[in-house]
Amino acid sequence: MSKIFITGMGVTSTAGFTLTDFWNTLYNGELTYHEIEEFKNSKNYRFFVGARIPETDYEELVAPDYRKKYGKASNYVIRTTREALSDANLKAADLPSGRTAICLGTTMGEIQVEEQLSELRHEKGLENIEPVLFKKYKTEQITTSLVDELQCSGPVYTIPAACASGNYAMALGKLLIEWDLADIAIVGGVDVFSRVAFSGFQRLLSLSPNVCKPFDKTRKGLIVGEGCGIVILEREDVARDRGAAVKGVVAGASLYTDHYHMTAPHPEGDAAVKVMEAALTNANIEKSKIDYISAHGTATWINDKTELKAIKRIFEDDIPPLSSIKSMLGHAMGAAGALEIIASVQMLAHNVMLPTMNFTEPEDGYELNFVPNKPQNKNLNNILSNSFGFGGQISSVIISKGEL
Amino acid sequence: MKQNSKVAITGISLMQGQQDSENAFQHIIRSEFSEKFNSGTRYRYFDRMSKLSLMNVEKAITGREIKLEHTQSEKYGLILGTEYGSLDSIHSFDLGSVEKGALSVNPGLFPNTVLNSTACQVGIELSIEGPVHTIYNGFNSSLDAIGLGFNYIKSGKMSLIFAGGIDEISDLVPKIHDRNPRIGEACGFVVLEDHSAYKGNAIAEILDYSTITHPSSNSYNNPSFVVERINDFINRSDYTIDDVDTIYYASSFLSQNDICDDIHHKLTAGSNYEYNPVDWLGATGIVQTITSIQSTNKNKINLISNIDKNAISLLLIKNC
Repeated sequence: MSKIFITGMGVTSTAGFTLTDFWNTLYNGELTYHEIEEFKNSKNYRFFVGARIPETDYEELVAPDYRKKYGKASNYVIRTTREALSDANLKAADLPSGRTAICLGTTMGEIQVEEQLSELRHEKGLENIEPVLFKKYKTEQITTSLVDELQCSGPVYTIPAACASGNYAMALGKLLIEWDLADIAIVGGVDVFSRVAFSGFQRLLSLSPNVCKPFDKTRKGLIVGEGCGIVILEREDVARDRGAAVKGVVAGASLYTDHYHMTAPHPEGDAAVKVMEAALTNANIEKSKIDYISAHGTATWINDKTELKAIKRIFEDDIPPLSSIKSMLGHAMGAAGALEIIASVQMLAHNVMLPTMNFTEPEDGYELNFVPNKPQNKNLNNILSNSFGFGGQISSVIISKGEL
Repeated sequence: MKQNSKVAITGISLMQGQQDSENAFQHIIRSEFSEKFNSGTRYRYFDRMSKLSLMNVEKAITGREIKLEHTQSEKYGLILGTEYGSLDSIHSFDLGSVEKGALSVNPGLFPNTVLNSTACQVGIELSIEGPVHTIYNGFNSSLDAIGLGFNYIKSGKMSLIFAGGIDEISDLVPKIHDRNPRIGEACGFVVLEDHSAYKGNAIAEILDYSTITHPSSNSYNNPSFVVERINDFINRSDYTIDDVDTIYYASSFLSQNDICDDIHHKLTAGSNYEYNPVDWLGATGIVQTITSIQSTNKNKINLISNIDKNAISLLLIKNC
């Protein structure tokens, strides 16, 4: 079967809006979350810390007519895809007609539009809201807006999969190319900062009051964030024919359902074990060849415990180093998986593992290399990247170094 | 893709709304929920979308020779298409937060605010281990769900897929909706299996599927584009347009007259056609698919088409 190459990437993130800034921020261990004034000043919130892209940055990144026409999630997608195509040295006009797939995931889509609707409804009633605002809500707009902007065509799927969205989109894009339904796939995930998500996680007692400390014995929970990550996938012959620069190979991908609970994983990590093993099988790679794990690592008690259990069951006494960049980015929800894959590709290029920041001590029995607080050099060839989401949506992707 | 897996439909279930007495433009599902949803606390956080979907998936399995074997559950998947999803649950949760404060929201209802909640609630209940996909492709959502399921089975990647769709009319939907004012709620699923592995009598066979999303300028007010797409789809199959008994049309922007005059008569002299006067939202495709199975005789071939401003999705299906 032909290899599936990663030939371009783009980010819109609290860690930066270019790949260089994104890498430098994470390499330097910068925390990109902060207290959010409107939550801090409200009696309705006991937690105030989130990773939010400043509105002034959004206004600079996205032209007024786009802000008027589309919701924020769609605008993040459009701008990030343009970055990814530029990185791939591809013009929109080069995209093969009828054979360009788009697969994008999200947790809540244009939720900020819905939040505006709720506020206006509370303030003045449903009938007094401007009709134009309603039209910006449609979830499929995060892909159809891109089709209109790029004037491309092919099989397109808006496929929400909660926090596993990025990996789900990548897995489906890979399948569409393997099924010979597309030659190129634009894949990724997006989510905007959401009051709904913040309120929900607050009530689930899943939020951290200050920092995100994945796998740490004293971890307190996650930090809600936002962003968009877009990756360009090309079939090997397509990439070769145009002399594309190969950033990485999607060596394997697997999707499973942890049919245990909507918000909690199976306590023994059964499904997580299966999804990682399936990814290894799909990639035809021995587990000993995995050099590093980009963990889901949200810093909630249950996720990190379960993920570590599953990793230990697979790798036994030979667990590779692992870290979670959510320690710096917060949890970008539907964008997290895509941003972590992009970071993984960058790690492969630099032969550097990004750190788990805020790390003080491991849980008993898990004295592993979590790349604590500083990046580490290592010759990297294969990275396993995990994403687990609400509804039991779980996924693992293996990214490898590659060349034409 | 492995070419020799034929895809059978082995179970079906459909609920469609009836015309509402208070608003003639809306068709509302008035079916009662199964008794199990009212007993105990297991389903207390299931919203209406999840209950309807679970009822229909279970109904599609019941009464057919479909056995779900626990040891095979990683080869089973679920694909649900919807245009608006659980918008009512999302909006209720958020409105509650705005009106009474974020600390007052019910954490048990938070999972219903993620766009994949309905499909996942059903997947968990059925102990599905394979992929669960939710597709938000607007008007074409449920047809694209069936089509993706078709590709999963055809390729040999999965052995059984529940595919279908659902949409309900919450108070925000008519505000967002910008096309045919006659809208309806519907929920339906088909069970897709590898035909050669299925021991019983299949209801129908899916022969082929195609979807292309394109710039909205292509097909909007350009029926020739639609004719060309349908011809391309048929020409790549083993059939001709004359083999098709009935073409089921549904469009988010073309009227019945547009379809008849500008498309159907340019395509074929022989085939019948059916046009949906009610916009079943993202569930349109599953409504058409099951209607075509129930309305047509054995061995007849039907073409299902969803024509949106941005996308054309097509399904070729043969009754068994």
